[in-house]
Amino acid sequence: MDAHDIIKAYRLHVLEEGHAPASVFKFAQQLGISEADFYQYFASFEELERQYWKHLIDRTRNKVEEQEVYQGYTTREKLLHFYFTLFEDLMEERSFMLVLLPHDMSLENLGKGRSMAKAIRPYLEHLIDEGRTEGEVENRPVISDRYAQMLSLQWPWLVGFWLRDTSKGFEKTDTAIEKAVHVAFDLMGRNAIDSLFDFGKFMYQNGMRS
Amino acid sequence: MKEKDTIPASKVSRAMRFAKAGVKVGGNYVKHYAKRATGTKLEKDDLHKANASDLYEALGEMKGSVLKLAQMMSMDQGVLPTAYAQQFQMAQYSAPPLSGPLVRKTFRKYLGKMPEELFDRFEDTAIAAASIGQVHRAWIDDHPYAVKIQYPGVADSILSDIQMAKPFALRMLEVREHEVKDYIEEVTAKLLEETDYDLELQQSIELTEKSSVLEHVRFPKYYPAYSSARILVMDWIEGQPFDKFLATNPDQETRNRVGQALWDFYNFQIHALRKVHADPHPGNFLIDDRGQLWVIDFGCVKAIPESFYRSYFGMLEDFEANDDAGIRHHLQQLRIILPTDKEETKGFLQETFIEMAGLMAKPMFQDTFDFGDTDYFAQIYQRGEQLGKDPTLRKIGSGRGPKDALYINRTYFGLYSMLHQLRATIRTRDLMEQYAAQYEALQLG
Repeated sequence: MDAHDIIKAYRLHVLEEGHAPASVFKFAQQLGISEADFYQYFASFEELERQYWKHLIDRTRNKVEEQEVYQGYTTREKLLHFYFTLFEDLMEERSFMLVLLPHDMSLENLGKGRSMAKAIRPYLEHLIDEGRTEGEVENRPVISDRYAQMLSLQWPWLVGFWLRDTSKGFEKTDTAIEKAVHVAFDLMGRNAIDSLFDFGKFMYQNGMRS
Repeated sequence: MKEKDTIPASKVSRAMRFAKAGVKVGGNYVKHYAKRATGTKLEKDDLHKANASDLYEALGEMKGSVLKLAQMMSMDQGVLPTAYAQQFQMAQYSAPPLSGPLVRKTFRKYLGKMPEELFDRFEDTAIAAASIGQVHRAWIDDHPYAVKIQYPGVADSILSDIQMAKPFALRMLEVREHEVKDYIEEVTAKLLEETDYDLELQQSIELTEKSSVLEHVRFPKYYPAYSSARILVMDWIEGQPFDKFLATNPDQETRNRVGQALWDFYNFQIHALRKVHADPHPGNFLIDDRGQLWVIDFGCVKAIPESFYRSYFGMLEDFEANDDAGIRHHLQQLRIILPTDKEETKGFLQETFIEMAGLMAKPMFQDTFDFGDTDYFAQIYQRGEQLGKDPTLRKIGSGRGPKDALYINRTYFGLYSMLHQLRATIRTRDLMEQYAAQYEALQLG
């Protein structure tokens, strides 16, 4: 039994029982493996869940990166396309997530959210690097190193939104994705704040004459 | 086309936009009355202008039903002060486009195919924005198609948007909610219908087939196989929008022909089909280089109930025959005059109505009518303004008359306004008999 099989068994357990296994001991017993076998792959259930997220994200990422249309997109469009595809793929996982996740991804529930956010970070780092080269993402002191981290928090929020979404075909989630991504890229791209700073600097350097 | 930078996202921020506009409108009133108190002469029109631009600012950043409501009110120029009307007409042409990935997702979701699987070529960037969707161009071989894609979640947001827009609408029209409840329900129902592209497809096909007898009026072909609840595909029409056409200074003959086509299109539907394209705003038409009028949007269709038709248009005959008793009877049927009204109120309403409706119906009593007649329109406008301020009428209260009249009145307002812009002289009265005969024929056939 490898990591992948254990994740699958965990998912099945949650779906059938309606809750996570009581302990690693019980879960391992059910699978007919030793607790040590489990720890060989995962330090805890939390780690198992993180790997589950990573698996989902990598799967969608590989899928979209092979698409010709994706390669032609701007960074902003790439992230939109990625999210739309990801949420389509997540349809199979909805029941599992409804059991596993708190439906309200607010600050108090960031515990679960953090492992999700961590899983999407590498992809976002990659996108933001690309955005920098393309000039879509503006370099700013201090904060520009944290772009990916901030952007990664949108993802658990979107999942929470989707789990609570009751609109037909989850249309509101589509709108939420669209708007959230636009806001993020509008903030990261060159905007009024940069011009303001630039202007302020100019004024300062020129002795603040007015 | 660059996507609009900031879109008010949640319901809360939408509400905030309105609240902000509300504060500003309130401020304008304060300024207005302050200036009046200090003896500065300030025209009411200035106040309307200031209010309208503040509201427009808020509306410009929104889309969907609010835009549509604004559009609807801007049509009804007789009701809305001119300053509002002008500002709102600008709102007809602005809404942020959907991103390329969301367009593709919509295709996959509703047609199970990617745009490039359906078409040889598909333009990722929208060529035009409509109030609840956007239009893309596509080709199969060399044949061009117009692909209309609806914004997701429009139907969902309509109800909450109307709830928020309502206080402002009521304030601008200066009426109380219970008086216009029926109208708001009618508008809401029609707006929801417009989000149903399946219905629009069916209406488009039905009305274009039946209207194909009309001269100089043309319709694009619709394609059910490529269409769904959120996607509507029709032929791409090469033509000029109404305002561009006017800017080319077409000669009188061409303007008359286009005007006649418009008149025929609406009156044929109203009188012969009893079902009408109730959205006569310039954006729904194109004029091709041979001066043919193309109708490109059937989102808003009003079915006319038989009983309403008889009372409403029955009055035209009463007018011609000078039959006061007949008019009274029809006004009662339409519940413009209520049985509980005092005798003098009844008399006053009847007189007022005869005057205003007689003015509006004037073109229908002549063989030909010149819609370029500025005096005629000034007269309508002035009379409308006066009536709006008339204290007796205000006391009686609005909200009388059937809700069916709303879209029919709006249709005629829109039609008149377009004909006026065209300065067209057209045949009117003698065509009425022809429509009646066509109605009979359709009933039998």
